[in-house]
Amino acid sequence: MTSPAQMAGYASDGLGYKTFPPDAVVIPADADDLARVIAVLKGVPICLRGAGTSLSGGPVAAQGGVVIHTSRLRAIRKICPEGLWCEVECGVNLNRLDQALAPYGLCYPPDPSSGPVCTIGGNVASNAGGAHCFRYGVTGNYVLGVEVVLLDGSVHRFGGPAGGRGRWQEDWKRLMIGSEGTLGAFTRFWLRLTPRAEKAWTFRATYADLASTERAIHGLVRHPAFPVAIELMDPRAVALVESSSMAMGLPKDHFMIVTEIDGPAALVDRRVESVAEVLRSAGSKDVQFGDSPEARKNLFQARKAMGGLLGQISPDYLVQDAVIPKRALAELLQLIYDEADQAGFPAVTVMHAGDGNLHPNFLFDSSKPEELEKVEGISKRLMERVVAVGGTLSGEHGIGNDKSEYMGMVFGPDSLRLQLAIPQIFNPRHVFNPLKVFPERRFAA
Amino acid sequence: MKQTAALPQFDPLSACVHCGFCLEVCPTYQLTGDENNSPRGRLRIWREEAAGRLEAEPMTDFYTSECVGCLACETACPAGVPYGEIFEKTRHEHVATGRFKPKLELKVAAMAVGYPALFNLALTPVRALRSLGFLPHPLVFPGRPAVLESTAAYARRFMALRKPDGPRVALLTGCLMEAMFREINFATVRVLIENNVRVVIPDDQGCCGAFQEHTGLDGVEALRAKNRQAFDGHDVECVVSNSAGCGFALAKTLDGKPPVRDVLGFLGGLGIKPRPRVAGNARVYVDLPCHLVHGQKADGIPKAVLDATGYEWELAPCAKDCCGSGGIYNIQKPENAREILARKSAFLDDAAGEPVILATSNHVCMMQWNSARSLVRRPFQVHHVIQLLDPGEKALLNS
Amino acid sequence: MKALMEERLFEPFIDATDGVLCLPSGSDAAEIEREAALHGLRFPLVVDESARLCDQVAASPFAPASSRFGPYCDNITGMNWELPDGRRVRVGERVVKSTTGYDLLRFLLGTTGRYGGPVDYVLRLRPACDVVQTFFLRGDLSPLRMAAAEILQTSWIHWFDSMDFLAAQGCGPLLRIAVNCPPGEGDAYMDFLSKMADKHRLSLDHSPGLPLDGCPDLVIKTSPALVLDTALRLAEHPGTKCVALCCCGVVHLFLADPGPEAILLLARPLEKELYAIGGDWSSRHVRTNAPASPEADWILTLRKEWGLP
Repeated sequence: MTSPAQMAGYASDGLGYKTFPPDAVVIPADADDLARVIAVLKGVPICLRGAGTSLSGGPVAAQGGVVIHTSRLRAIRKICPEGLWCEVECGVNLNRLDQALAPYGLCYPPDPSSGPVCTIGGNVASNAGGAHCFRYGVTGNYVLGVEVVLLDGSVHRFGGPAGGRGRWQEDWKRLMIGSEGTLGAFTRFWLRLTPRAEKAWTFRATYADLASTERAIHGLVRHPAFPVAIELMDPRAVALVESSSMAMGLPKDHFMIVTEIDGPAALVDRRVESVAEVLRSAGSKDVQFGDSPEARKNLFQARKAMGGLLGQISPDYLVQDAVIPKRALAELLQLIYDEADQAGFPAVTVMHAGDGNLHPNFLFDSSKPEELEKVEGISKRLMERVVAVGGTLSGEHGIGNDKSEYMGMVFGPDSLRLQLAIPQIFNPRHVFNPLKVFPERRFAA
Repeated sequence: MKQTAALPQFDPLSACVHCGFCLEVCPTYQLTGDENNSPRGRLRIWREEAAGRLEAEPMTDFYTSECVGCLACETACPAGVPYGEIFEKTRHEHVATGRFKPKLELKVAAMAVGYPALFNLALTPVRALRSLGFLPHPLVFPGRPAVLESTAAYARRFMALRKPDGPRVALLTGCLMEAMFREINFATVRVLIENNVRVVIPDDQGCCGAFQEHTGLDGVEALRAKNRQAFDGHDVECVVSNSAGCGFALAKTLDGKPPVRDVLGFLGGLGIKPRPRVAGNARVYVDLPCHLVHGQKADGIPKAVLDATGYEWELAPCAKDCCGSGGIYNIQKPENAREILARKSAFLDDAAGEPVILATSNHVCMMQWNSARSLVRRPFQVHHVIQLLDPGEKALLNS
Repeated sequence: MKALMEERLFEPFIDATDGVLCLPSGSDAAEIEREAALHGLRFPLVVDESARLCDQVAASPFAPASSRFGPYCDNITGMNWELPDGRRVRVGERVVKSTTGYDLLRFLLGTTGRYGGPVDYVLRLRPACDVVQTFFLRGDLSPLRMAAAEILQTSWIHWFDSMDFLAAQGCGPLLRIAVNCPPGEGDAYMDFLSKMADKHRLSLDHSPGLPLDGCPDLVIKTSPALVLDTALRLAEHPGTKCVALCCCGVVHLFLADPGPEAILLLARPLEKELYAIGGDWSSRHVRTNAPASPEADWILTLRKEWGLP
């Protein structure tokens, strides 16, 4: 496909205001086809793309060239319940995988909000997380093996159902996971599965101030019930929900925490009260909880609604993905608020609080160049502060071309050299996904 | 710790944020894997063209023509993008400017539905053939319609015999439904009357306009104006429709004056009289029309109504996904429609039960499912759910 | 992009809120415990009381408690790493979740000395609970296997520190389950395991404390479906004790005579089937096979780019 209209649809990912139309798009029918395409493409950048839900400008042709869209590699090839693994093609969608695993009583835990549409290939490429990763861990913790097509079209398996190194001396799959399409094209994965929790309880609590919110978070992360998720919404986020059609009567100027525990009924049922007590004793007068699917859905609803609501009220929003030591939460929130106020546009903040993974959303209009410039300035200052307090640039969205400029804040000269050596091994001319992760990764024909 | 900058106001027409939630539910994206052939892709192309960044080109026309119009993307969209509205407007423009040419038979049919009496008369032979058990086309499903008596006459006759005194509703009889599949209208009248509902059938009602909406042809406004007049002043609680697509189109037309409800949803709120349990091994698989769940945004068909059929039932797999009918999509894009149907109907081969009945609540979906007979190896029946609730003429008269 | 002027090495610290502890990689179990226990936390992946942690990590990527908490590489969030030429770099973070750059942390953790070694670790700690107990299910092999398979498919497996199958010549097979839980929950674990024992006609007993097997001599990585068979086969060799980490698909072997020949004799015959499923073997006593093409080229490039001889 090469017509301008056809390129338009592939010009951006979930970060819709930055567009990079490719020169051509290829949709291979299967993995062999994909390997053939890579082997014959010479002298053009190649960008692999799954469902294009990334929020960091990962699967876009930043330097033009060819986008290879893996939408047709969507077979779940095998589920092995005794071995607790499955074999899937890169274009398999997360929710469909979950539906396929449900009859076995098993699950693949990472749960990014884009689960209804995102692909496992994109998840592995960006080492995706999600709300329930606080206890269960992120994508990388569940990848047993990766099949990769390298630059010359050769196909290699790093790991497999057993999740080891295979015949290799080094564990190359570790470098592949989270490599954001800069090393090769993933075609197939072996994923670790785990039994579905027998039962879960969901809790929601609101707090008038940050100090009591923090007390609750600190109590939860140390609780022996090991909550699966600890989600925080700031007052702005709560107000957004409350002024929408999804209003549920939450106080608009309060922080809100949603948390969940799961496990065998015999364990979680006796933990309910003590978790509720942590939430209450931290200072909440409104702690609600339930174990029925409906109650749990309602309690989680406000958090789930966020992404869409942001879309409804703002032409564009920039979401950051910093991870911070939790003790720095107040400092960072204040910085976000001050910066947003100064720039004159609102910031709505949600957080995977257990992991310290902060998502401030700055609402702006990209058609006004001064707003774009302002929001990028804020991003930079925020990231500098995040790194200074011991945090990191990205927890689950990846670096893409959105945050690559900030990598110099994180890596010293020797560390940077170690990092840049990795693409030199597999992709020295930066044919795969140039300008991503590190800005010096520029393709030269 | 407070922020001063105010939150913006909600604007439902603000554009797509490109999150991609629509991809996985879009039948043409599932079919082709091409992102341009998805709501997110189409919206992007239309927006680029509107902003002058993209010239009008055949691929844009092609992707626009590929959309089934199932509106599953509206349900999936977290940002509330009114895709259906934007799509209809774009399709209409493409037809008006010659960028897309609907098939001739569709143009003729679109013209014909504007004249219900003529349309009814013209299709008399089809009703006659069906009533004799002959099916002139794979899309035409079996049934025994009255050839001459109209639904309006039939309803008047039964109203006089049974004299129900419950809620009063107007029935949308539809064009194709009345002209070809009248037996469904008759069954609807019987079920409503049996449940003590007073049925009014406004004489001068016409086509709901869905046909024009689907084809992008002119004339929707005239049909809507006619229906606004026809359904005005009958002192009814609501208009009921036995076709999800027609009901959706009429709802847009009447805009709540009076409200339009799907007949099954309406019956669900009444406490419907159940049919006796059906003995044996029969199993009903319920498919939900897109324009019921994604258009009218109903949760589905009420469980109480489905229980009242007396059958063992379950939802068909992927019941909220499109069957490929798309009103006239199966005529406009037969290959796509067939592939969508092939995937959706594959389960019937191994489905439990004998006989197996596929039940839905839209006649165009029934037509599409009927055409699956050449895809599915085993025999199966296609019914409207209202037909499974039908007491039958004799029983209704004798009770 | 400009790099920082100097490396941001980790300084020793403990952050009880985030549950992370930075200390020298040569620390032993007691030193880690001393720091962590002050805050009601623990580092669960200890296999040996006296060995340095870096030696434990080098001996096996897994510990029994990896069943619940994952391998070492998921419980070490960052490191100060010394390259063979003495340069020190920071890899990883002090926060658990990160997708910033290539995952050198996990890559290097699996390289046992070929590219230098760790100086300091940032460890991920977990809440320490009061009840610390190990349960033993004993009986015939076949019901033991059935019990293990059944437990592995329930969400109880998330709450056991470990579930290990022990096999060695001269003693009967047994299933060992370690639990670390609050006082109010001990009886729930006991109930569940008693039911399992009754159902499969096994005997159940328990003792306080968690198991410490020591550093294994040979480690086999396979899949949970094959791990018991593999352990049973290897245990047929005299002087071999096998601990199969059921959930991880790992067999830890402890040998009476851990010489290189003895280890190769055990490992070599397994290679073909292990490699076919992406498994592997490793031993702290034996250097692994020299890399073949194309891996040799990759490693050459890596060493060159890193400025290593």
